[in-house]
Amino acid sequence: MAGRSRLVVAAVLLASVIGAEGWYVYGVSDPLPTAERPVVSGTVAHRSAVESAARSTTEILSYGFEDFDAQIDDATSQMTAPFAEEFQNSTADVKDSFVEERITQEVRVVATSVVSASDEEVRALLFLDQYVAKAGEGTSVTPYRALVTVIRSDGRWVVSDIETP
Amino acid sequence: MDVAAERSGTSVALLSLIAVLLASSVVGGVLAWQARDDRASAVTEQERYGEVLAAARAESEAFINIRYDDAQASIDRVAEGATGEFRDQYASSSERVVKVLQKNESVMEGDVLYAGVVDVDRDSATVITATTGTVANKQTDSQPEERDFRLRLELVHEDGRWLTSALEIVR
Repeated sequence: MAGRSRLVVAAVLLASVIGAEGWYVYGVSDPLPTAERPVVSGTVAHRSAVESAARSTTEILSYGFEDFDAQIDDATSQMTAPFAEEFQNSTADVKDSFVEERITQEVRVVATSVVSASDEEVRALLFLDQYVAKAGEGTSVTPYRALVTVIRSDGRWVVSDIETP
Repeated sequence: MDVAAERSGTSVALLSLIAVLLASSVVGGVLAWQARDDRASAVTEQERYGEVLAAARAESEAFINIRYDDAQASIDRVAEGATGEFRDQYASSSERVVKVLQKNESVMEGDVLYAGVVDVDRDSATVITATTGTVANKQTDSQPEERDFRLRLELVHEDGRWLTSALEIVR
């Protein structure tokens, strides 16, 4: 009997060791980005997020007087719902002047970088050049920069914010 | 089945269970050891991003905070975080730069808004920073005018520090 209880104790101990090992390997959640460790996701993951942020941003910020509404609708498919609403409101304000002055605006990416990254959210700093063409006038180029936040949603990256200070 | 046989049957079952548990715990131990190694190297890599960004922010800030009435110290602060050709440029031309700053009574002030890593490996990195600030000089009647920059910095890891080997204004 004493031998059997020792075996039971050994089994219980081993089971708890396995439990602890399992927790250590699978149970520890990934850390959140901090100033000391701003990027806590793998290189491949955050690179694809930054690329996606750059591609979406150029598509979102490039639109013109032709098919204005359709272009804005297309752009919102790459955004979170709250940001889509914000974007629709801000573009509604400029629609009239775009149509009246026959303005086309195109954004090109000059540089991309990662500011912070987790598996769920990536912030990218982009250098952009904005080309604005008005009917009867030439094209003007304005250099600017954008802090773009993308979040993971249904297996893809969607834009939740674009700050252009 | 008598009691003795039943007991020995239970013991055999227990022993088999223990054998399985033992094997599993060994496998678990190996996995945990690997996870520990992976996490340690991930932490090193993740901290590298933080170090590179901090160095690039400091150097960008030095670069956009230059005052004619404190010209040499302003230039020294840039040189402090610089290396190679970039440092040499500053060191060799500093006397001329000080004269130009004093002649124009230039005051450039600013902050780094954002900094992001373009690329980083063990001993080199490329970082871009976005700054905001003002410049005032004789041409502006000493009135501060807004001056934002897009900067690209090349950094190298030397003697345990990240130093800037090239700094470019991205127009």
